[in-house]
Amino acid sequence: MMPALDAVTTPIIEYRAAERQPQVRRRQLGQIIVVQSSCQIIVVQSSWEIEPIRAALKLQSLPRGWDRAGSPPPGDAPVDRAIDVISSVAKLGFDDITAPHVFPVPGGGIQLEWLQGDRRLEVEVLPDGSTQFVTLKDGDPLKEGEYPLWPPTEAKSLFSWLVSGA
Amino acid sequence: MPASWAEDGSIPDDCRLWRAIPEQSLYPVDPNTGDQDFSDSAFLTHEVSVYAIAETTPQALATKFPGLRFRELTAGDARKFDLVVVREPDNVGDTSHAVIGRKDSPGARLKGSQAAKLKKASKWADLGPGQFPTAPPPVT
Repeated sequence: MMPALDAVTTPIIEYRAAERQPQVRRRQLGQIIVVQSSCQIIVVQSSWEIEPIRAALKLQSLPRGWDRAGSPPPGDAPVDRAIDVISSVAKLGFDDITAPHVFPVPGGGIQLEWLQGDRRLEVEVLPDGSTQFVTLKDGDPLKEGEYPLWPPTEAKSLFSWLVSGA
Repeated sequence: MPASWAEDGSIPDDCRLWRAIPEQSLYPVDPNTGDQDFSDSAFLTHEVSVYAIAETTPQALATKFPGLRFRELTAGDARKFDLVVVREPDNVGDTSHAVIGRKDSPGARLKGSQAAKLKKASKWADLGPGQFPTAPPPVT
């Protein structure tokens, strides 16, 4: 018996650079994807990744001066790194992580904010693609530093702290 | 950028400062409470632009930043977090304008923890874009 469609498909995001409007579609697992030069195809692990990745991509369409202070929109480096961060979090194996909220940062960066009760984990991607994090409880900062994309054990400890507040 | 990042003695600790919050930094309004959260990334910059509300008016700021909401904090709040407040006319010469920057590293971006502290110390100065609370009538 054939499994249900959702059981054999996984969402992907197809980003058409010419249109700057990411489209979501589904593909069968194992399908070979031909990446055309005008498209960037991002394979995601979890459905919660789609909206924040889509939001990060859309930030590139912000007008210069979106903050009324002359800030540029985020460029390729912070957008690519923000997608890396989202994808890497999805691979940490937590079942109870929700999608981060995505915000532009003055100067051309991106901030990802994960909320869990009174706990918050913020990851800022700077314009050069480097990453910083802050953990907060009840709005008070507890810990900050360079966000560890590698090794995953360090990022896992941050998200373990986040979800333990649920 | 201010000519000097030396602390400005003309701005007392109880000076109320308003910061325009870009709409892209706002969370959706909570349908249950009517509250609206925002990202502290609105404070993540090299110099946080603020206006001394006693030296301007909400209407003037609403005209300068149409459609934006405002957070209010005091100069003393910023100073508690190892930040300095420096008077600096804005790009149209408005002298009610000041900037908040780092004391330990003048001209450098605020740290994430400092932005978070500014957010927590601040409160909404308005009821929504362009909507300001009516001042209570003077006591007679």
